[in-house]
Amino acid sequence: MTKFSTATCRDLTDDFKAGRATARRHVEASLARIAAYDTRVNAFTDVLADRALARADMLDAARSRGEALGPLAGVPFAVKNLFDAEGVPTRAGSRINVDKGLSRADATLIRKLEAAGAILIGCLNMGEYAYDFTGENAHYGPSHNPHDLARMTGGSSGGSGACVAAGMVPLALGSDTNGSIRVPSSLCGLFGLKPTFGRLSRAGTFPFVASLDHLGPMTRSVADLAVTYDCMQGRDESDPAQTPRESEPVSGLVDAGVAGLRIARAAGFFEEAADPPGRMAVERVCATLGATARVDYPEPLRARAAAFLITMAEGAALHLDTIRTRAAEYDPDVRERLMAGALLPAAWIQKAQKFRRWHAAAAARMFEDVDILIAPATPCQAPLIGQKTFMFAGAEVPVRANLGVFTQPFSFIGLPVVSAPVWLEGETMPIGVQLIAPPWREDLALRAARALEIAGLARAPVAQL
Amino acid sequence: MNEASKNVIADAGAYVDTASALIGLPIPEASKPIVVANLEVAMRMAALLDGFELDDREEPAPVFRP
Repeated sequence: MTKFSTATCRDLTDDFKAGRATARRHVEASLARIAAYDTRVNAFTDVLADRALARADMLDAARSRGEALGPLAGVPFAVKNLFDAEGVPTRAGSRINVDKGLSRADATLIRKLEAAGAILIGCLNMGEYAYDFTGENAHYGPSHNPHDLARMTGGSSGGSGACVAAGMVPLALGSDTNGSIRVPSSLCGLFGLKPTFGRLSRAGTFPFVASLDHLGPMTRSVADLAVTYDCMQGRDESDPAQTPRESEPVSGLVDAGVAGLRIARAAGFFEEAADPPGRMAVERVCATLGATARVDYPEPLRARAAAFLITMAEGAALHLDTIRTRAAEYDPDVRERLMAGALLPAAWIQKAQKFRRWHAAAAARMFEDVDILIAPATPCQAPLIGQKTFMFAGAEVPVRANLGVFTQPFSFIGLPVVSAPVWLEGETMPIGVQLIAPPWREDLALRAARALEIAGLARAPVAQL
Repeated sequence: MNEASKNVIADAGAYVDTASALIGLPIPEASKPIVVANLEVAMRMAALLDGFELDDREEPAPVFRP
C-alpha cells in the first residue's frame, strides 16, 4: 500500500481497486494531512469532511458489491474556491461573494471527476476574484509555498498549488486566465495543464474574464494530468463558451515519446528576460528533448499587452456594480485595478480583440514548422510573501502584475500548455518550463512533459513539512 | 509612444475624475493615485497596440455562435 502523501492518483486508484486500501482510508489520510499542516500552509478555505467521508463509504460499498469503478476511484481532490460546490459559498477569494449564499449544485468539472470515482475534499484559497499572480489574499491570508513557507505559492490558484505540493491531495483544479495554473505550478513545483481555450466546460464556476478564462488540473505526475484531463473532457450544453468538439483522450498517448516531433525554444523576449534559473531550466529541457532550433513567437509583448487590457476591461465590467457600492470590501490590491479597468476606452479593447485574431493566425503559421514550443513559465522562482517588486529584464517591476509575463502571450490565444517542474542542481526551489502546443494538441505537450519526467528532469516531489 | 499619447498620460488624473463621474463610479481620494498608476500602465499597453497596424477588415476574436 502506497504512502498517501506521496501517492499519485494512479497509486491510490490501484490500491483501492486491488483492495489494499479503502476510499475511506484515503479520505481520512487526506484529512489528517490537512489537519496537521494547513494551519501553516493555508491552502483550504473549506474542508468538506462529512461529504468526502460519505462519498468514500459509497465507493467502498460499490467496490464490495463488485460494481465497475472509474479511472479515478478513491482519489481525494480539491478545487479552487471559484468552483461551485453544493452547500458551500463560491468565494472566488472574496468576502463579498459569501453574501450570495451557498451553491446549489457542483460545477460541471467536479461532477465529471466524481463520476470517475474521485472524491471532493475541499475548496481552496485563491487570489481575490483571480486577479492575481501571487497567491496572497487580504481576507483569508496568503497560501504558503510548502517548499519554503516564507515564499509565495504564485496565483491566483495558490491553494491549488499548495495542497498538491504539500501532499494533502494528489490532484487540484485551478483556473488560468493569464497564467493562474502555470504560475503556481512553476512556483510550487507541479505539473499543470492549461488546455485549449474552449476545451473544458466552465459551467458552475465564478468568472473573471470571459474571453480568456480556462480551467485545468494540477498534479504530481504526467499520467495523473492526462487521466484527470480525459475525465473532464466532453460537451456541456450549459457552457456557451465551450467549443463543440468531441472528446480526444490523451491518456494512451503520453508515453509515445518525442521522436519525430519538431521542438523549438521561444527566442528573443523569452530568452533574454528570464533570470538565470529560468534560462537554465529551459536549457536543460531543450537538451533533454533534443531541441536545438529557436523560433520567434510573434509579437509576445503586444500579445501580453492585449491580454492585459482585455483582462482589465472585462474584469472591471463584471465587478462594476459591486465596486460602486462595496469598494471598501475588496482586497486593496485588486480594487484599484478594477477601478482603472472600468475607465478604459472601448476602442482599446476592440483593437486588442482584433489583434488577438491576427495573433492566432500568426502563431498558426509558426506552428506549421513546430510541434512544441518551449518557454520559461515564470520570470523567477517563488518570491517572498509580501514582496512587492522584483527585477525583470533590468527593471524593478511589480510582482503581482508581472509574474505571468511569460504565460500571458500563450493563454491570450488559448494555446494548450503544460508547465513542467524542474529542480536545478543546488537550487532549493523549483521553476516551471512551458511546453506549448498548437490548438487542440494537448497530447503533444503531455508527451513532451512525460519524456522529461522519464528522463528525471521534470519531477514534483512532495514538500518536507 | 507618440506625442499624443504622452500628452494623454499627463492628463490621466483629470481623465480618471471625468470618466469615473460619467459611469457613476466613486473613487476615494486615497485610491486615486493607484487608479491613475494602473491607468498609466494600461495606457502604455494601449500605446504598444496602437503602434501595430491592423487591416480594417480584421475580425475581432470572439465569435458569437447562434
